[in-house]
Amino acid sequence: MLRAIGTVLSSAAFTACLSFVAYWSLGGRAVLSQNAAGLSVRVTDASGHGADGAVVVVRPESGSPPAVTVPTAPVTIGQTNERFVPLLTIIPVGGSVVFGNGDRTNHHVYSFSPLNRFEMLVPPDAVSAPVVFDRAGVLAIGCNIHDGMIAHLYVADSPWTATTDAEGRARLDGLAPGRYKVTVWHPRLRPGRGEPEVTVDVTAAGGSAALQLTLTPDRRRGPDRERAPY
Amino acid sequence: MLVLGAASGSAGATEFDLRGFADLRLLRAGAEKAWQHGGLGKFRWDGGGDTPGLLAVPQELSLVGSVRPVPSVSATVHLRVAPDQDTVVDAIEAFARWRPVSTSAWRFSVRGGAFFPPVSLENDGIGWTTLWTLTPSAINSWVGEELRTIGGEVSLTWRGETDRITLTGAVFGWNDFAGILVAYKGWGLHDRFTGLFEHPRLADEIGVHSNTPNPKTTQMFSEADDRPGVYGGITWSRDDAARVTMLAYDNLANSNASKGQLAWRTRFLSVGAEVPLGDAFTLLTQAMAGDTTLAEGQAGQSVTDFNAGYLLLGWQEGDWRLAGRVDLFATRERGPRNRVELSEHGHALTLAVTWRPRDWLRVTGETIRVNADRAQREIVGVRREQTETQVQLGVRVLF
Repeated sequence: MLRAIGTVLSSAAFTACLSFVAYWSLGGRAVLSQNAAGLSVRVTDASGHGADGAVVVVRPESGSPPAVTVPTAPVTIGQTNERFVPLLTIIPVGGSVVFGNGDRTNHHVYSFSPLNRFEMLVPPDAVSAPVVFDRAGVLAIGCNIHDGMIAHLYVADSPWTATTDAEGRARLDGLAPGRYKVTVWHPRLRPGRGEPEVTVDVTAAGGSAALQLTLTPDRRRGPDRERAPY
Repeated sequence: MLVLGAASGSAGATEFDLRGFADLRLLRAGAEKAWQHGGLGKFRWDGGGDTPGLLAVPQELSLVGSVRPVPSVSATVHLRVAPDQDTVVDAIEAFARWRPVSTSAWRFSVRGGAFFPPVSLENDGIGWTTLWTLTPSAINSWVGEELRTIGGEVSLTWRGETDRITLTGAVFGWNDFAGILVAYKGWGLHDRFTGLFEHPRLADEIGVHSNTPNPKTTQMFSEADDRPGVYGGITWSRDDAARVTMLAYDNLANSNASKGQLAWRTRFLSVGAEVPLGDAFTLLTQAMAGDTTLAEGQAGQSVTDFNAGYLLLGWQEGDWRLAGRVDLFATRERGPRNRVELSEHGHALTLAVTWRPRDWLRVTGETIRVNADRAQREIVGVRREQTETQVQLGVRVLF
């Protein structure tokens, strides 16, 4: 089973993210070979501590990864207490997202990422129209009214994609024996350093990989009465 | 104390928001008469005599209201109720902003009204307060005293994958008397920002050496020459890594223009940086250099150079914040030889500890020790070099 835990801000976000990845993993199973093996990945920060919420992507060293299966229902990114929930969402290429506003104030959701530029006003208690993402990559999503709000959307082109748990661990199952490239991305990856990548051999007994990240300090903060609202 | 809740809501498409804070202080004030009371002391409060005094002060109630008729437009007003201002209620800022959403790398915004110029990385709290201390640095104490942009400002931001660069420019009026306080009383360390309708008190020494009656006040946010001032700035930031900002300001006042009193031509360059150090530490620093001129080209011409800088190291973990700050400041007046010397130099050390046990409550203990040498004090019988210590306990109820 694909095991993944997203970086979360609340238990509700945790549940939503977990249930989504579990749903997506059902699609991943369709491409498993008879003698599929598992790959264990450990991601640490510069001080050797497990890096929570890193996105681990596995692709064959040569050729393309198996096609991803696109869920029919869009994934919801919520807005609660002037935060996006969850902070990080993974969808397969071709997947879609809706934005659900649980606050009493408008949110003006936008992204200026070249991957997919969009903007939409989401009134209180409303859910936006779905936005389809048909190219792989990472987007930052913000709110034009509340500057502190940010979310990250990872659009994956490989079914072997997972997020690390609190210990920095992720396990990806269903890989045929062979050589793979493992890359990792994190919302706090230090700018300009690129995404770490390693090549690993997976045998019938499985395989393992270790990667280290240099992360910026975690300075996320939600709305605060002490801070200027403008 | 009455604990209020922030109010927000909508009426049709229009959204409104009201928040603010009430501030109580228990403090051991310095002995020297405060600048607000006509003295040359550096702090907001004094002991009311020649010795330090213990005071309990309902310092202020600040209300910050905003209205958003459409998502890209907001109007904000900051009103203050304080016992030590000219009127019961005064406005600190009042402005409207238009910032349309952009899905390109470029974004622009426009502000109009009365607001602080973007000079401080320190004053990012509600009502232009500081998060690390109760008392801002000497630089930003002065900005609070004498500067307000009353005009229009345009900002253009380029947003890269990790970096942002913002260019800002403004045209403003009604700031032709900025400079008089830093020249006539020197730098201060306080959070007593001048209200838009106030006439700040001048040092009584001015009346003593000019043999004219005291107390004296000055105009502040007023126009004397019908000539607008300008500023331009640039800010660079990298996600969670650093922020560096620079602002060049010139009120372009005609220092021979008079509206009851002569205008002051004031210009400065300010550079600041904020650098996170690990998960818990933050380094803040700012330096400013400028000059202010009175009666340019006349026999009584006076030019005062003013310079200051600070370095603040902050630590935050959970509900607690600690901050230590060193301020250096100086003025040098270049005026007629037969006039009172208005130059000064000094330094200050500030230590503050802040506890946020609740979202609506901030408790801060702060001590400042300031040493300043100012020859002007001798005119009013005070030793020119003074070392003062102020200790404050601040309770701020946020709503």
